Amino acid sequence: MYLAKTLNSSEVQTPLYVDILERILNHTSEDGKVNIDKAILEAQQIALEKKEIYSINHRYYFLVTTLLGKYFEGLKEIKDEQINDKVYSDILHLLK
Amino acid sequence: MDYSAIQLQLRQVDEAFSRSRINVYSDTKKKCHFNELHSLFVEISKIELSALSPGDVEIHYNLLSFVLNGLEYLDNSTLNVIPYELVSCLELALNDWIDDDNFIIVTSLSNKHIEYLLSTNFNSETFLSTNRYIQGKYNLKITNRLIRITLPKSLSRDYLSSAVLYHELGHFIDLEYNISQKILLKKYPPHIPIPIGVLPSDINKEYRHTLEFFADLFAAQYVNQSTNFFLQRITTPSRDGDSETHPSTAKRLQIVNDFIDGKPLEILDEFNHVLSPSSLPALKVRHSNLDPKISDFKNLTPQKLKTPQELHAIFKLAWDVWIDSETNFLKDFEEKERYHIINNLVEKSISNYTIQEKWNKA
Repeated sequence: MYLAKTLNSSEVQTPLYVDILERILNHTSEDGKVNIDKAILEAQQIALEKKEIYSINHRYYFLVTTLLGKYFEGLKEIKDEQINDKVYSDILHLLK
Repeated sequence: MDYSAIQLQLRQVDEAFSRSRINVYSDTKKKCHFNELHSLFVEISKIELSALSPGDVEIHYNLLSFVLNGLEYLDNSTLNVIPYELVSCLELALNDWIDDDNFIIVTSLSNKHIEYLLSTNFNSETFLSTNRYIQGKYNLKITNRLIRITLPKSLSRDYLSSAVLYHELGHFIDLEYNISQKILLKKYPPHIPIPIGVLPSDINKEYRHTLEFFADLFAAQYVNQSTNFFLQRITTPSRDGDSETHPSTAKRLQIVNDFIDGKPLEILDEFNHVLSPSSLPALKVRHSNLDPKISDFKNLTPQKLKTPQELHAIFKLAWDVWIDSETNFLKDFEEKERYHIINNLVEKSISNYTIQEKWNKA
């Protein structure tokens, strides 16, 4: 090997999700918002037992399982699929 | 971590690129990947490092590690080094599980004996979010992902032991789709405290063992008991037992035997329950049976292979011939010659099949 550090997927993913959430909250870019919203709503469906845990999409598995572990009650409070800045801010806080 | 870490990394990447510039790859996808990594490096080299936020420093550190690691595997996957026949078989197996055409199987040859590994630092989730980041910041995109397989240099053309690379590919599929993780996730939901008496280390051990069982069954789909034959030969029965990372060899052999014999298998059912909602095919036998007694090997000629199922079956055929080589058509050769004959015949059989396929598609 050269000097490359062995990277752990979750270590790599966290700063990338933090970057997306900060941009959404700063209103500088909504790029990535669609996937974040899909992950939040998928996690919510599982929290509400409307969706099977086995069907979590592998494209945002880390985020969904992180939300289930750390934001379970918050997920259940989201109404009518409306994700507001408070939700993004809460998730940003738990990722940091 | 501050930007000085990136300053050093940039010099390391620069050095690595200067060494890799003359590489000749076996296909255009690898060359394309090399060029994309280089473009990313060039763009990162232009930025004012001291202006990066702490979050951006961390991301850039990871990006440059990704570039360095990718280069290392590309260096070991040049035209003259890559075990082309083995990789061809793995690519065909991969096609059963992945629709995307954006994967490159690359190999790294290790100096350690029996070191077969699969490196999956970047799963699809990380790949997508990394691409989103570099597209936004540098207007660049990485098209392909690397599936990085390490195998012992001394055994890179040993088709008896190399069947375990199917096991390693099984790990890739598992980690890509979080199959074993989902089984544990259902058993121990993340929002519910761990039951009293269960330690996190117990869960980790259970997870690691589940990973191994999946990879064993995945491999058995294609190479039958070939991995069992190898596992038996590297296990000392008196020292066999569960470890933190692997189930006992006895358990692993039994599960593969039961799978091949079509016996009811609880863990197989469990895996298939996860695979279906993940839009993946079930674990099932995906190879033909080549009878050594009527095979082309008997005439010391490569086996004529017509289908991918027959191609995968070549590994079991090799083992069958090797195991009986003291009494079968190879009995008059010395053991060293028998070993060479089998490996040469397997390699030529695979090579003939892949050339024929390319010819048919041309």
